Amino acid sequence: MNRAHFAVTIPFIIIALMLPKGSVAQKGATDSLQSLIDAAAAGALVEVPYGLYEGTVTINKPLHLTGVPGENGQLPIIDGKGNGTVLTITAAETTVEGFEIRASGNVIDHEDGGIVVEQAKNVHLTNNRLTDVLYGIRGVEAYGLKVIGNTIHGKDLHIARRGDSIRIWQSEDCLVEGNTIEKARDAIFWFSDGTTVRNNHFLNSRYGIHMMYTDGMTIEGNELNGNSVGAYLMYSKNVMIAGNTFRENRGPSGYGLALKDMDGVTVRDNYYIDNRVGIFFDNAPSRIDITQSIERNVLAFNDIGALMMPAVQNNILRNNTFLDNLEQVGLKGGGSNPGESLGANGWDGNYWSDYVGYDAGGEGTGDIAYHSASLFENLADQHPALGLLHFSPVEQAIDLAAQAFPIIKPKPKLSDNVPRMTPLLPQTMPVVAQPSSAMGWLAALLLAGAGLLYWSQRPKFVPDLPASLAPHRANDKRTSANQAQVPSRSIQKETAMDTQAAVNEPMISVQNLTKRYAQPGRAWWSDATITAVDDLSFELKEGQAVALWGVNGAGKTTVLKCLLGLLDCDGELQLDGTDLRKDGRNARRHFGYVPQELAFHNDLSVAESCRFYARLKDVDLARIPIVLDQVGLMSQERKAVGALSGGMKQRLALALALLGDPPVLLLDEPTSNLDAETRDEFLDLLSQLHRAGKTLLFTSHHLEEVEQLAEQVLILRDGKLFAKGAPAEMMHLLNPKREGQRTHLRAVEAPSDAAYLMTVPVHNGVITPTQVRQNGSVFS
Amino acid sequence: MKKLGTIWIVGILLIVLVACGGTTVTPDLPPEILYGEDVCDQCNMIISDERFAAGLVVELAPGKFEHRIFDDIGDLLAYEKAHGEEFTIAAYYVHDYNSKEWIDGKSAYYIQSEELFTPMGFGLAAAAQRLEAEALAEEWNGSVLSFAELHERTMAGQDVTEHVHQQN
Repeated sequence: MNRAHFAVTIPFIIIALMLPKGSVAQKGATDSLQSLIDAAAAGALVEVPYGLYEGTVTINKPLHLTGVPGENGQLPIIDGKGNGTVLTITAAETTVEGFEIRASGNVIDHEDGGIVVEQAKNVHLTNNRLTDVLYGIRGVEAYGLKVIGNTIHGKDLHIARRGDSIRIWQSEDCLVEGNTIEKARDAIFWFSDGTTVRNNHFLNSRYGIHMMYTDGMTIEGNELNGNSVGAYLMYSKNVMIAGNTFRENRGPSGYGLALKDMDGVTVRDNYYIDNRVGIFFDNAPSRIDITQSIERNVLAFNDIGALMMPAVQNNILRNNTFLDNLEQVGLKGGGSNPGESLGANGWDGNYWSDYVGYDAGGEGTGDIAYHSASLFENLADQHPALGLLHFSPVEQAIDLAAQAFPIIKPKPKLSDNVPRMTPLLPQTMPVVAQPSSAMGWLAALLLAGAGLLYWSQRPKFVPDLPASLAPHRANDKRTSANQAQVPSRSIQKETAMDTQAAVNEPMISVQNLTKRYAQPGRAWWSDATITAVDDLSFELKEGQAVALWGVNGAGKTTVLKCLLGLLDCDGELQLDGTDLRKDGRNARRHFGYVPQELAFHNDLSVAESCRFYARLKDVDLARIPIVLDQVGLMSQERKAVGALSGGMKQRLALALALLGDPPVLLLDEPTSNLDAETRDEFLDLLSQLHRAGKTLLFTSHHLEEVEQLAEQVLILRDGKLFAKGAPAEMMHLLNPKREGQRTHLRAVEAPSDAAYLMTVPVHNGVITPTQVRQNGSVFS
Repeated sequence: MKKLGTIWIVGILLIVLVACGGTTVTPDLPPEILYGEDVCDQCNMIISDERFAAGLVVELAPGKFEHRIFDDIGDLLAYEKAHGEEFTIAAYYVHDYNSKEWIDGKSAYYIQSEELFTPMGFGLAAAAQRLEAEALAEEWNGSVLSFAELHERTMAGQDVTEHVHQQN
């Protein structure tokens, strides 16, 4: 604030303070606000007390207009009453801070909105709340405009009828920082070189960011979630895109980030999660003498990780993580020779979750190249509608046909000659000065994260979730709004007798589960299979702990994988009434899974690992200290994961499974790799979680696990349910020695969704049997 | 051999699927655009604002017509300039700015203005009547062009289809 202004502003402060705070006298007193502004000297500080100021206002001289909150922190309100633009600023060096600005007009031809800054330099708009506005903030020839810490909520109109949340046009060197924008059309940055867009939330709009003709722009640390398209950047050069998260942008084109005719772009350390397309390249770069760097990004759970137009070239993609995208890389339109088209870009040195290979020397890169080749994907690239058939028998049949008939076997559309065995995690972004403490915390939490993993879920299914799952969303940022509509089962138990029946319904229901694997080495036309799970049925009630008991090959792990949706299977699987096979993607968020084979990034600290996973899972980072405390790792949070003992790593795996506060824990032989003492400690920990209400389903062939944890044990033999009952009743069957003599095929499948897998580590440079990855599976 | 049968069935279904795609397009009907859903054939962006949406009917082979749709009149012209040799244009369609009705692009009048914010920044709108176009041009400090003038400038490589606010 300019101290020199104080002298001239004192009279106006006095005038302002004389106005009754929050009183009805302020209602309809636009004249008093406009009069206050008109009466102020240029450069004055005008403090506006809390109250309702109706009508539109214009500032045509330099002023510092500051809202004085009411007793309960309410902001002074400027209400446009549905007419025109609420606040117009045509004077340079003006500040507007701390107002609620609402109810603009609704005429799109007139671009009615909250605030417009026209031909005015160095205007600061800070910590204002704009609601029910057609357009939010427009800057036209507003050089040096700063838009910091505001919230903008558009009118509740069809997306095609909304105005832009922010439009900065012909205005250089602007800063847009720490704002939250929701339900608008686009945030537009055109012809505004040198603009920085940092640490904002662009939510549920059409284009989170639409940028054109803006060289030297920086886009960093933003969250772009739930828009039709996250960011569409066009016709610009020398743009930095770093540390952003593009999540669940699933509109008609559904790009997380789209680059069209962009030159000299650096794209690094971003997350692209659950978009239709993670990153889209269209004639970017447009110049053949320019090479662009796409590095250390995580592209996870998108329909297509990276999609390119056929003529795209000179993008060097290195150290990126392609994690369980339905199609890792696609070529739009397919083209006659996808390999040649995509090969005009660099693909070496990335992590591919579908990589089949090994690392004999322990250098961290695979000894054989990664090839992406799928006839079905090629067809889907040419005919996008076929994407609907992903994971269907059609896809399997087409790719099977391609293997059987070499004449139609597709050539690899891309190759990575040095595929990484482990992902390289994005670097955290520096935390920059924040406009307000609340936004600061929010941005700091978001930026501190660096991580990878697990299912990312779309909120659109949330209202259909069963009631009993609701309490577990308490820490889920995306679904909290729906919380009140869906009372928890535990609350119902206390308040309504008629819900008792619901409580008695099974939390997990498995009916006639059957899983068959193809017989190894069979001819392509053969139907020979091995049945891993055979017509298995069982149920778990809420809060129950059940053990799946059996030798290796009995089908225990397969049952868990079927519940997690990682294996196609027959039968009915339900989680609290939700069909896991139809809506598994949504329901699975309510599972926490601790795999038998742990694979961490050893260079990360415990806390960093948690942040990494929390980021992918979209869990509030505030959960991290809670889960670390739960598992007794709080004192180890700064320790490198590689330096942890086996028991500590097991605790960390449990902490990661608990991040989303799931009601159900699935544990695959949770103590099989622990010594006796550590095993007892870990079992105590699981017992505590069970007593706290978690439902546990775990596989085991350790008697002490079953005795200490399980209320019921299901004994599997050759994939069939052999017997079930309380552990004490089953003791005569739980004979480890006799069971141990039964050896069968062991098909321990490594996780393919990296919720629990970074990759399989190399120990001391020696390949263990579990280091050969094949289609997401590990055979030993 | 069950699997072989599956492959044949799937193959036949795919052929049927592909063969069934598409509807009849004729030059005398403008395209139908699902606003907020369909994307522009030039820039790939979602078409949301019908005031500036435009369309082409292109003839790929004798009697074989297809629609192309655009979010900005400038993108229509840019598309024609880039792909015009791939087809014959059978019809141009643009929207009357005021009525938001489809009108024949060739007989429309065009307003070009730096003050007009259009989806791709070309600053072009259309009107069915010259008087309407002149009124809009006056409001926006712009100028009025016929289709022939606009088209001629575009194909000649002048800056009409470059952005009217191109940076210095």
